[in-house]
Amino acid sequence: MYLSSLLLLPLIGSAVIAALPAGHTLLAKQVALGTSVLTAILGIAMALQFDRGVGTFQFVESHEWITSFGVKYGLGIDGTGLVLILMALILAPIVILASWNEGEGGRFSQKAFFALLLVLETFMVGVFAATDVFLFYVFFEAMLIPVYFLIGSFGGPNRSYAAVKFLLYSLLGGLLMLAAVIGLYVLTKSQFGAPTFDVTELGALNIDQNLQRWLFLGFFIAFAIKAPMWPLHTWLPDAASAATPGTAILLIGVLDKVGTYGMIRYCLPLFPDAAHFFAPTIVVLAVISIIYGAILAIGQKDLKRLIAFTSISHFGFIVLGIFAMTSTAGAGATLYMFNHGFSTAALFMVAGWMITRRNSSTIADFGGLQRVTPVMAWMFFLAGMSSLALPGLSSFVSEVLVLVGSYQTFPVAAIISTVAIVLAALYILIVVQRSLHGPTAPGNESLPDLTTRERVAIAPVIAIIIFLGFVPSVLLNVINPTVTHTLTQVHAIEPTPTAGE
Amino acid sequence: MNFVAPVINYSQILPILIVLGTALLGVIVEAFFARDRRYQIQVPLSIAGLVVAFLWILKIHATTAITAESAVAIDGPALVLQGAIVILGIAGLLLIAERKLDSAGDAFAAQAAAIPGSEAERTATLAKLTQTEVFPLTLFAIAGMMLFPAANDLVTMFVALVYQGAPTPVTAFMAACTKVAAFGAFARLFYVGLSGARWDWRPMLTVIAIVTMVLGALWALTQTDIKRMLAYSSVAHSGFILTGIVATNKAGLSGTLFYLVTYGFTTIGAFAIVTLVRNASGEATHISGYAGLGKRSPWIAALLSLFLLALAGIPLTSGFVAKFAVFSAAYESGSTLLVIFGVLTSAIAAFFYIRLIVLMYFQDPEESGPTVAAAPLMTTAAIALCATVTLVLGILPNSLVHVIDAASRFVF
Repeated sequence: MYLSSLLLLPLIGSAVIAALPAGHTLLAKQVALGTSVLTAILGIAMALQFDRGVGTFQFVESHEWITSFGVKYGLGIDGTGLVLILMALILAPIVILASWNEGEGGRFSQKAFFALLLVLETFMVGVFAATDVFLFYVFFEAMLIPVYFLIGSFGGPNRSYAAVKFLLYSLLGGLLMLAAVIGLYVLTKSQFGAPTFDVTELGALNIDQNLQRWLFLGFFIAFAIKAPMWPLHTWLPDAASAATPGTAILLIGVLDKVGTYGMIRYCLPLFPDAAHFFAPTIVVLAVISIIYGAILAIGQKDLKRLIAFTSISHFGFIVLGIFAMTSTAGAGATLYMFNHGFSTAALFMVAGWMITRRNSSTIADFGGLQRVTPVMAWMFFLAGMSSLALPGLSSFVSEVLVLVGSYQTFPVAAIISTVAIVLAALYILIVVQRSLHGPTAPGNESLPDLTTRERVAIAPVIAIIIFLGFVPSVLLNVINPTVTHTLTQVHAIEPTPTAGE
Repeated sequence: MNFVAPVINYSQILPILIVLGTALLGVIVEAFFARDRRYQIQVPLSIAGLVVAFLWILKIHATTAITAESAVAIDGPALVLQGAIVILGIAGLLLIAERKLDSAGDAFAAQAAAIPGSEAERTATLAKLTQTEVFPLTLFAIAGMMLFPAANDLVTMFVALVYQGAPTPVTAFMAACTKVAAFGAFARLFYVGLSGARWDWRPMLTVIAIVTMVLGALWALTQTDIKRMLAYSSVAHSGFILTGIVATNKAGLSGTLFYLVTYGFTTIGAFAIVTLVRNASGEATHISGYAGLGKRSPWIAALLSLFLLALAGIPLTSGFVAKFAVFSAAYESGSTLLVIFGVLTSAIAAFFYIRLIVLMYFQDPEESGPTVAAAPLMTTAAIALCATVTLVLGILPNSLVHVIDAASRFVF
């Protein structure tokens, strides 16, 4: 019942907040923080009982739901699901603490902001825990509603446009996926005699090559919009720069992972032949995303847009790792998803604090922060280093694993992608230099440094980034059996390592 | 010449008879009671009649028979649709009966013969000369609609059509109930009447379904009046419903029935809210009037959003389950093209529904914008009923799906 409790707890918290009389803003925040901390503790307790040797689903729950469609309320997690749920559950209280005052100046009360955040947390857990494709789809689509209101009601000047663009892109992707889900439904009905959406059963389907490719595309395009991959990425910079930093963390750090998670969970095991067929094309798109995101990040003048473009580059790495279909790259991709969540969170948190202090998100307005606000500057520096995958920080391990692993199957792609390491150094060091060093920009002389609340919020993020930089095995031990299991489902042939490497 | 009395299984058509009987009672009330007391009698009488009819439908469901000398077929699908029409009729009647919204009384002319806007009309209004014959007339219309999906031969169908010509005063009621009735009849025609020639009709109906979906969605996209938007979008929904009919399988039939029932409730709910958003001259139907509604009346905006999301087919609402049901049935029958067009037009439809939500939540209200009337009791009841059905059938559709699945067999 762990998973159901994780779903229910934030929902209860959100109902409590909604029921509070108007004006009890502080109490609403405390309830939100309390609920999310409680949920995180429960999630960690679950993680401690997770059997690391097993690559299949654990903590399985299954109940009949819509019987005539064969839909079940089916939950369960494997290593990938566990890692992503943990990421979401740990980030939620951090985001709530970090964006303590972000609901101010929104179109609606701060109460609504925190109630929506908790509803979103429920859907985030649900989408990673669902083992029934229909249930997954329900969470996948329902998740859009709270995010839409979070962006559109509490963001910056461009919020309404950004929220609508986000929603329409996602809805279009979702509807294409719906067509593919319907395809699966009809196939199970004719091949198994009764419809089912259970992912553990769907693997046994015998789908002819042509249909497999179409169904694969239905799922993949939806996930590529979410992930976001070039050329379907254009909604992300708008959404990220219009959203409050807290929403942006959940949007890019967690929600976008649903795209890459979906590729691992559905695209590979359900349509293995199509996955092999499209892999070269997707790898090319991934490499374009990696390079394109990095180059555009260098040119950004806006802090939040810069972080958004770096993420497009990072998501390229994750997709590359997934479709390289080797165990090293696969493990690297899953680890990358987790690490990217925290390094993006750190970047957006500090950027958000810088922006509210300076009341501007233009990079040129900052400068010399190192002297004025040393703690904030150091945190930004560390977050930046994690983003460019400095050895010793968590992202380094995952990036190396992805590159080494994809070199085995797509050497050219891996080599081109290494260029992005140089580009990453450029985009991070340029923004670090412009905002932290040099003469203090006018208007910045008396900016306050991080408050205690802000320090408490960012401390765990930085701790995780450093800890996993040295001990990635904590997560890799959980991830590896799942990756192996997924790769057997795709019938991937592991290339034998060349001697002397 | 031998004249044999027709054999009629009265139990089967009792629901229709109950509604007709109530309507006649209503006429008698009109004739014998003083003008100022009629309203107090008509409203409970009409609703009681519909409730009794619904209870009878529950009692006889799962029975099938052809009665009235093969003119009326009361079978599973007919009963499901009749049940839906009766419940929708109750919601519609509540809206029609609402008198607390317009200071002038209700949405209808005080005296049918008075010229709109004339001195005579104003006098009539001031004298509170509102007429109550709308209640029995609505009941006649409901009875006609109940007959329509059950009509088993052309004459009966004609009769039903004539009944339908009776005034059906509220657009909501029209949009929801008549659609249920008409598609029910159409499904019967297609599944039973043309059963032998089904495969000849399919290509043509596929084209019609696609054209309906695309044109309806595009028309609705260009509307700036909420009522027109809802009306044109209902054309697109007709296309989706046709998708289920064209499937010509059991899943298609049950999907069509599910769609009809849930769509009826969602539409009535949406229209009920439209009646509440008013300015000096009555309902404010231009969509710009909805700007900032989320801030001024959060509840009304939230409920309208729920109905719009259901119309757009977002999961956790009944609209999603309905869409899934008809699209999967169409795909199962091999109409991949229909599914693809359905999905694409759904995206267009989602755009114009969501545009309204954007207006309500993300834009500031107009200076002289309309106000939201405090929802009076009967309207509240109608909206609550529709919202509950929309949510419950979105999250736990099992109950209705089972009833419909069991009922999805036309008598041949």
